[in-house]
Amino acid sequence: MPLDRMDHLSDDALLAAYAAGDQAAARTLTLRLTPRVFAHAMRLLGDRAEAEDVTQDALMRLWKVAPNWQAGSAKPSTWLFTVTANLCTDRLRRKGRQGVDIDAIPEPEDDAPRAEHVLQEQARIAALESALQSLPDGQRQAVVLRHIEGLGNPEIAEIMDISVRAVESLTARGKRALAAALAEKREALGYDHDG
Amino acid sequence: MTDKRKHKPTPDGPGDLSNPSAQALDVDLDIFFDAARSAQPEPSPELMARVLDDALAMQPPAQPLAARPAPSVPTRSWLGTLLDTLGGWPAAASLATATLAGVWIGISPPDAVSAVTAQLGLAAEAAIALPDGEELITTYLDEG
Repeated sequence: MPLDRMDHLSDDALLAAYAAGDQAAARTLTLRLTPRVFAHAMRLLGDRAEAEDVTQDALMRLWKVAPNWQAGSAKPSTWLFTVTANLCTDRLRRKGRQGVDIDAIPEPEDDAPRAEHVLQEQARIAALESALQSLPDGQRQAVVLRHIEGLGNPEIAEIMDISVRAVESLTARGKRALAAALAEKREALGYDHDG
Repeated sequence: MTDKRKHKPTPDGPGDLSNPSAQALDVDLDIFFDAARSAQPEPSPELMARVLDDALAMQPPAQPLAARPAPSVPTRSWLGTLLDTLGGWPAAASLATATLAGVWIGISPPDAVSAVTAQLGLAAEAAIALPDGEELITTYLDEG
């Protein structure tokens, strides 16, 4: 089946087509899922090379289970987020997560307004990533899934294998911790003026 | 799973977000979340290629046409074929009835039939006189 005709298929349907040997389904799934998995791994790990390894590993596990995938049992993307989170957690535990010094983030220096805005955005992203790395695993994962990936609490609860109330609690505490970590850079990051 | 602990609701829980200070904190963080969403980390082309290579290498082979079980074709008996040709059981029954009626009329013609044939000047037992087989062959050979 042509790739453009596969764009309308659900992940479930594509996975079934993949398991039946359809190479176009393999390409569509790769294009659709790899960026999401990579972005999530990148945010959890903060390291591009490790995020790439985790992405490849997580998707390889999906290809492996595809022939036995039961349609309707779980969304492939939810399953992938779970696997990705577990792989990231394993890596973080193995190497012992290091705290990130937010003060090490460069401050905007360019005087040009546009360049300053771009630099300010980059500084905010870097500050957020650094602050995220300082959170406990559960809080970081819940905050990223809820506020950056945009998932709903029930799906996050399924991914993290906890209750919806626990997700709400982790998210709230994670945000408080983030706010506290970012407060020190409040003036440098300029969010007093934009908010 | 990363965190299987069942968390009890705490004073830091979502209920706190209803107070003004928590809402202000939420707004501040949204600036960071917006920035992070707008700058989604993109996978490199090399990673995409590696993932696709894995997908194709681990993909179950497509079932070739020859390996697929052929759809079963029901075999028909000669009687079934004949019935289909005639139009099914009802048509065959009608035909059998007509045949038997013809045979019966031939063996034991009713009086009405005998009267008709007599009026036409034909004897019931010799309506058509056919030459025997030897006579037919001789005639055919003589005429070339």
